[in-house]
Amino acid sequence: MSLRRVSILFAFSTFALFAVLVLSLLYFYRGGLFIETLFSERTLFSIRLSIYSATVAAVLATALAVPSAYALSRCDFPGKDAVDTILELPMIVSPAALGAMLLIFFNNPLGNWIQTRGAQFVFDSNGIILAQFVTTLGVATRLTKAAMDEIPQRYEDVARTLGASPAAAFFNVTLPLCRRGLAAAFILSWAKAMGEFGATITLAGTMAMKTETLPIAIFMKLSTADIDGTVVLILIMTAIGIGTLYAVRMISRKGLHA
Amino acid sequence: MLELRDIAAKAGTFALNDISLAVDRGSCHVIVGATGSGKTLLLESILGLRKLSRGSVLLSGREITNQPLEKRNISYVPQDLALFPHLTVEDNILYGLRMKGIKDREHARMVEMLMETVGIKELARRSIGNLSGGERQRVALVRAIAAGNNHLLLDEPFSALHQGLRRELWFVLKELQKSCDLTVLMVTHDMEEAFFLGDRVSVMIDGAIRQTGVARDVYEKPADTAVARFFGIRNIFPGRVRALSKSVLHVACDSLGAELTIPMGAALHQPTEPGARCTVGIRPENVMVLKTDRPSYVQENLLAGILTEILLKGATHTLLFRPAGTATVVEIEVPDYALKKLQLNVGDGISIFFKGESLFLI
Repeated sequence: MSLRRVSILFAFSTFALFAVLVLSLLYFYRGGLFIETLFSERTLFSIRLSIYSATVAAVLATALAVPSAYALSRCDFPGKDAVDTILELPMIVSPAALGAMLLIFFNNPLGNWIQTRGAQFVFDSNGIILAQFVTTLGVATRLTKAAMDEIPQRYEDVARTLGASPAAAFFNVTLPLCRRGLAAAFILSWAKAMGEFGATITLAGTMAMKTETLPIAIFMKLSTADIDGTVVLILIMTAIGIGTLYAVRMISRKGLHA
Repeated sequence: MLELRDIAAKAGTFALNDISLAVDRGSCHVIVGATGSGKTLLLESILGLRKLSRGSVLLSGREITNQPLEKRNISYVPQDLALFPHLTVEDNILYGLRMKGIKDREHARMVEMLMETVGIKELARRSIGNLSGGERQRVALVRAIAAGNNHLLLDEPFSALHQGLRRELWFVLKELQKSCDLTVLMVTHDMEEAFFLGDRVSVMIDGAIRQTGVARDVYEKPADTAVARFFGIRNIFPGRVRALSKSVLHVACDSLGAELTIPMGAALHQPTEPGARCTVGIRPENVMVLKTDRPSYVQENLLAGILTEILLKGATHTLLFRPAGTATVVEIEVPDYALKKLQLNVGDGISIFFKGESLFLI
């Protein structure tokens, strides 16, 4: 068998694995229950909370990722390797451990001070946003840096010879040129935040109608052996996830510079 | 005027060494060198993209060594042109004026005239991705000039184009340079381009300027064997001064089995006493081929031998000649019509003749 055929077979095997998992959900699918669960107040709250928190977290992560990614992509500075390495922390440390780290932080004097003088995070919807922000920041920065690496520094240099300040060259040239990469970074961060579970449950808890995001709702349905309800929520999440990834593919297909 | 004083800069293990250069106002100075000789590094150092380890850059007498890039008032066209792909042709060209906050009608008219001069006015609304290679070069040149900087650095801007288009753009650049009174410093590996465009030419080898002068002088009298070899001159022969007078040198070239008579003016560094070692060179196109016996006008520098090879090329051809009693090969460049007229064949016994003023002494 040729290499081409073997590789195509492997690609379809991967597709088949996930397809089987999704299709197996249909065994427990009940049409009437789907509508009932989808439009229940609790599910709608979970969807709204998930979309809201993931959007805020992804916006914050992308906004912070842009200057950091620029520094990592364009500048040499002491400690650059350390900063670059730490971006992978959320991928190395499990989300539950990351949530535990946040919880521990808010139990030390500085964390306490923030909670009493600033905003409440522990067992609060703010905690969801924070947990999602922390878990997606690394991904957002990594993807934004990759998008900026694609844009030659030469463009900024030439813009500056034409009279643009470094900031003007960045905002007029580099940023518009990597806008598609930036959009992809935002969408993937948003998708990751939508599916975030470990850090969120550790920091924000599982309070119905307060900190119950979609992944937490799935966990709670499953823990009460409500398989039908779990299937409905998984299908909703899958639809949102696949829709997001499809959007990323469409954006990427148009090319980085288009 | 752009002036470089003892510039030194490093890029990894490669270094630029003590480069001094003065580009007169309104002139075009071309630095010619092989790939990897440090040409781009030099331009980047002038712009401030590379930190100088010593030396200074002056623009119209004002030191700009530590000025930020955007304050230097030097436009730059890199090899890849770096046209902004997200902007239209017009927005690319107006970028510099917009950054400087210049909005008056006079400048807008000037830009329009520039676009008209180089034939890109009708491309104004096009996106960069839809331009041909030649159109892109024109846009890059106009963008650099439209920014209002009188000094222009060009990094092999025509290297990606085919010969015909390249020649066309040489004329465009010449016209723009004269009409806009531009001071241009250009680097290239193309000798023809250098000698066509350069009022003055410098030769760069391994991070150092080996020779600078008026284009014709550099072409005719390479300063050393490295420069001569860079120009592709293989007719370089070791010799020893046998005698010298006020007007001529007599140099014995054992490898040619002959004594050559060379006017004093042919040497950049003239040997002062008999017995001094020297190197004699001649461009292949300056070697005359004689099919007949010694003509009356030839008194000296005549060599008899065998034609060993004819390499057909196109407009000109290369002949290889071996002087009698030697193993040396002399390269000769002859025009197509001359080869046809002489009706030469490999193995023919011929004579060659070096005009004294065509010989150069290193």
